[in-house]
Amino acid sequence: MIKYTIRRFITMLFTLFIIATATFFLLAAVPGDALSARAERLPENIKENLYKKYGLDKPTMERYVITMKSMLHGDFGESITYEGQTVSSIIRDKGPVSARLGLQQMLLGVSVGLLLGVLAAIKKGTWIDYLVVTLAIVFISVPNLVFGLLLQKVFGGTLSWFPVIGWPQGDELWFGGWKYTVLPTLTGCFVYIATYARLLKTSMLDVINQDYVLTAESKGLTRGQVIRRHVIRNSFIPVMTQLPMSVAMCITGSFFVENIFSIPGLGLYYVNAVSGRDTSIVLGNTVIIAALYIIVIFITDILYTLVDPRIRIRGGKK
Amino acid sequence: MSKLLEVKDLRVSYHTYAGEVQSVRGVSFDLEEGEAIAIVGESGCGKSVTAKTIMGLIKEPGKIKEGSEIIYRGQDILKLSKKEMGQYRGKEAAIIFQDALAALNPTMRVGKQIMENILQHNKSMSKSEAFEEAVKMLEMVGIPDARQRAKQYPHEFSGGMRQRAMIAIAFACQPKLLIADEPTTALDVTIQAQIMRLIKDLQKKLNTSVILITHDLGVVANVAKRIVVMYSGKIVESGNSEDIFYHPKHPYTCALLNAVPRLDLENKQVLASIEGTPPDLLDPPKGCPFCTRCRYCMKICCEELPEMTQFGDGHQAACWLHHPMAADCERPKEMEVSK
Amino acid sequence: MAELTKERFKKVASDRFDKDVISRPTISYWGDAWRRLKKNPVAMFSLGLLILCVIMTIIGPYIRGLDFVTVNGVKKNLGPSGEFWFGSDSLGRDLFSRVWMGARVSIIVAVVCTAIQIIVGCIYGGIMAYYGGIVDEVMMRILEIITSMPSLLITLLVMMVLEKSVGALVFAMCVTAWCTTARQIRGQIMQLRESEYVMAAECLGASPMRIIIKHMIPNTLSILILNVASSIPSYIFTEASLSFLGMGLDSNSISLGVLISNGRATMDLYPYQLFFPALALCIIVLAFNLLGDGLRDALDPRLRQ
Repeated sequence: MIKYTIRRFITMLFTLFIIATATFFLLAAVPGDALSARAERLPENIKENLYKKYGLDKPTMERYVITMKSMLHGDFGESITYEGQTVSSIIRDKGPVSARLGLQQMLLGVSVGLLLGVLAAIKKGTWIDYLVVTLAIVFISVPNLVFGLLLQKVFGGTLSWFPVIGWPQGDELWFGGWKYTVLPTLTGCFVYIATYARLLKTSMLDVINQDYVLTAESKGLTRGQVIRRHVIRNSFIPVMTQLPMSVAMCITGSFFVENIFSIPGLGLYYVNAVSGRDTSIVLGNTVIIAALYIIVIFITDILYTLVDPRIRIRGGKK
Repeated sequence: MSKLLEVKDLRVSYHTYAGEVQSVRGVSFDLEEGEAIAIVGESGCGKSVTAKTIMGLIKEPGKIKEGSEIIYRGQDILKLSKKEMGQYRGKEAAIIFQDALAALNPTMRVGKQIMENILQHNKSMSKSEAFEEAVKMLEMVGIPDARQRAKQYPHEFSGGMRQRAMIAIAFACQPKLLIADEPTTALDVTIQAQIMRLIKDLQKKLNTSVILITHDLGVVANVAKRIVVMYSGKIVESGNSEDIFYHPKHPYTCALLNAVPRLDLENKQVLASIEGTPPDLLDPPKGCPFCTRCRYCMKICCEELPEMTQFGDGHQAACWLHHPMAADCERPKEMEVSK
Repeated sequence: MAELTKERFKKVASDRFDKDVISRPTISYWGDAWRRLKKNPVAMFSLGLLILCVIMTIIGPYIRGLDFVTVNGVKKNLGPSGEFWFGSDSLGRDLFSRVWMGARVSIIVAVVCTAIQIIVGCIYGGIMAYYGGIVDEVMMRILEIITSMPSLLITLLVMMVLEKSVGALVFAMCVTAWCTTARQIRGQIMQLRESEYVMAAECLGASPMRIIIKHMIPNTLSILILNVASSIPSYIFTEASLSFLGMGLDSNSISLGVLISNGRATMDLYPYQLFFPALALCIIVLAFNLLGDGLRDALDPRLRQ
């Protein structure tokens, strides 16, 4: 188990290194970066200084080495468009906003989704089942941006129940200011509800047909006991494998949700940096988002082994 | 001895898109307290469905037909409420499945799976008492280091041990009735004998009635007092094991007996097999279901169902060869009328 | 019961019966899958809907006979009416025609992407499974690295480097998507090669050609069909999302994403400009998803009864 963890950790670092390198060279090929746009109107000597400041006067390979070295020291670069904004400061300022939004979405979406999945599975063939299945397919088929715009129009615009844009700041960063978070959270959570309801239903129906459920029934357990003790845990295992995918969805989903509701989070900032060709910010943020993502997968893998004792013994997936 | 279980005219069908598959077509037999009987037949003859029905485990698309009765101690278990069913299962009747690996929950410790049964039927018992009881059960079925083993998961057990654990679960509440659905099919031959001996010992010790379901006549011989032979959802012959083994009255039983490998035969002799496949239960034949494969088939066999003929001492068989009009027809040599 | 006569107790020659005949007609895998799909009303409905949508994307833009490209300063922002069924946009162009034109572009982009994904995935996965060993190991590591990043991130980066165009969009969306297909194909082929029935077929002297035709293709084909069914809607989705972020096609081209993005700008005053393209997008994606669900049920051999 420890050996497996260490091996996974080393692979993780290697993957990150590859991602950083690939991103760097990809960005080096970006035509017309933000700096040239900014430098156009400046006198020659200032322009030179500016290029020097960002190290853009040096050849690509040299810049690559320098960038990599500074990344190792935790310096991920500084914005070209907005002087003084470093990747670290952006993460510190905007990270919590995105994190809260993402957590709220996932907690609500996954728990409601799982609940609906259980309901649909035990009430198979009834109207509840059909309702859940229909809802799930509709939620999957309607892009969250359409949902977001719709909610914004109806609850924000027409009914004016909730503010359309804005986000709690300062003391209310993590808790409070709930009314601002309702619509974005709802917008983002639909896709989780749909995914998890469907997944858990299929998985539960699979487990219900297993022999050990018959054994449990033949012990005289009630249906509820059988479901709680035997079906739920075993059907959660395949659902767990979906978690890392959900984190990816959460990260990319934040690009849209934050865009629709103008939430000052990482996603919005990242998209703006990409369209503004702010290469150094994009590089730093890409590496950090990728790292986050890989770490989440790593943690999920470990969690997975805890739920399924068969894997715990063998030490790793197959 | 009194009757523990009476199965009367049991009919079970599965509804599939192709139509109604009649898995069990009117099966009747009974079981006395402390008695062990065997239901023998090849795959798909309805024996496992019969077993599941007795445990009340038939699910959609399976359906028990009107008129079927399973009387356990004077009560029809097909009419039990959910709560009564919960008390019946586990406490009164228990079942062992063929594939113990599939029948044990992979993510639950073995001890806990036994405790579950105990706690369910002894509400006053504490968890630690139940654990001790579970350990005792594991010891009883012959698992060494029972205390450690109880804390392990099923995949850490060997095949034979898993089946022993299954038996421990089944016997945990000292049921009156044990159904063993092909308990040894998935095991090595050496382990098979151990498991059969274990079931037999426990049956004697706890005075449990056993219904042993198998396709292997060799396994049955020294466990069951009575044997029921099933073919395509019907009972074709039943009787004492001695009668069945030495005086079979149905060509199918004869053919089955000939298909059991025996050491006392000459090496050169080819093991007999039964040609053909059982009939399609979607559209069961009008006459005797065995007629297409029977070497002694007569015209009437394809046209009408044979009645049960009684031979005394509970021995009965359904075959037209026993009709007085067929007295001079060719028949298996085991069935020759000795005068 | 008919009368029992001596005649009826005559022995019947045992070879009268063909003992090993299987009395039920066998239904082929595909026949059965198609039969089950046909029995699924939801799937058949969505199939019909899709065919209708495809026909509309072909003829839809020309039904009204209006010029939907040129700016018309007089007829700006008109609501749905007899002349403009879906209204006109902020530049006075017929929205009905534009929606179907946009749907056409979106569907074509999605189909092209899916085709590329399947072809590249099959080749890559096939090579991995065929060579095995070190080749497989190295190619698998490459896959792992690509898939260990959120794919939209890579797509965004690629779009940042390339000029906005349909070709760039297709490339950016396919750049990671083939990985899943490659993995599935590799897994399936490996599993099939190990499987006992393929071994049995080999032992029975089946030629490699027969094994490929009878076992490999049918078993991988169902995976590919499901892959197609789930990929097309997700590409339509991604295109719309990217265009919405301003990272897909530029706002002068016509696609569902661009139309939605344009509609958002005028959402408060002229909600129909957002509503119709969004509705078209949802219906197309929903139809694909429903059909995909039906296909999955129909192709799952475990659900055969």
